[in-house]
Amino acid sequence: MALRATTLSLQKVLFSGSFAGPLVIRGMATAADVEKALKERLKASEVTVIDTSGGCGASFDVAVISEAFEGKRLLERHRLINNALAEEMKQIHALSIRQCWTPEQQKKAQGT
Amino acid sequence: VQAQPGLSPELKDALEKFINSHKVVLFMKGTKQFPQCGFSNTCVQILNTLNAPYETVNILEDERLRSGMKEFSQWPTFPQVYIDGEFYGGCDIMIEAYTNGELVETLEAAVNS
Repeated sequence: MALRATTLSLQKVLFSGSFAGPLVIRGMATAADVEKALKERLKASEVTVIDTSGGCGASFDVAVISEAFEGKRLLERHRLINNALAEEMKQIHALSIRQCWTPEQQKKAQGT
Repeated sequence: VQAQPGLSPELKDALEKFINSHKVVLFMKGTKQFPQCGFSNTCVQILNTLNAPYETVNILEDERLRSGMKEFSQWPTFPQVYIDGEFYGGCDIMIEAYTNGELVETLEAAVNS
């Protein structure tokens, strides 16, 4: 438990304000890494990353809103996400893509 | 961490033949009787529900197959589904296509082709 507490306080120092979920530092992909990669490489306007690993940091749910998806079928959109995360995927065991919408689709879904 | 032996020409040929000789192929962790991962199990359940004829390949049995398939499909994770000789997608795509009715159409077209 002491180790856990140390890790948590270290996370606060290193990542204060940059992410929402819990994560563990052990030289592997974190929710923050995944979010950063998707935002930068897909020019995503909105990225939600949920760590579903229960702490080991190797399983994520992602939702991405990006103009890069415009005119692309679901398979191609998933490929874009996989490619954007190519480096991180080496350490990720499971990645669920919950949403890969264009900004237009997001607007429609929100009914605005 | 793990070595990537790569996709040998022999394995590539064998995969192409296998995929082209079956309407639906599910490359998964475990078998359809005993899936060893929730995502693979989801695909098995979907295909069973739609009463689709399908073959499964257990990628846990051979590391060359496991790493080779990632390269072959240009897809980093399992399960991987092939329909009518073409890569269709992973678990999320199967769920989405099942939910919106596209999957049943694609399967019907494949089975009747």
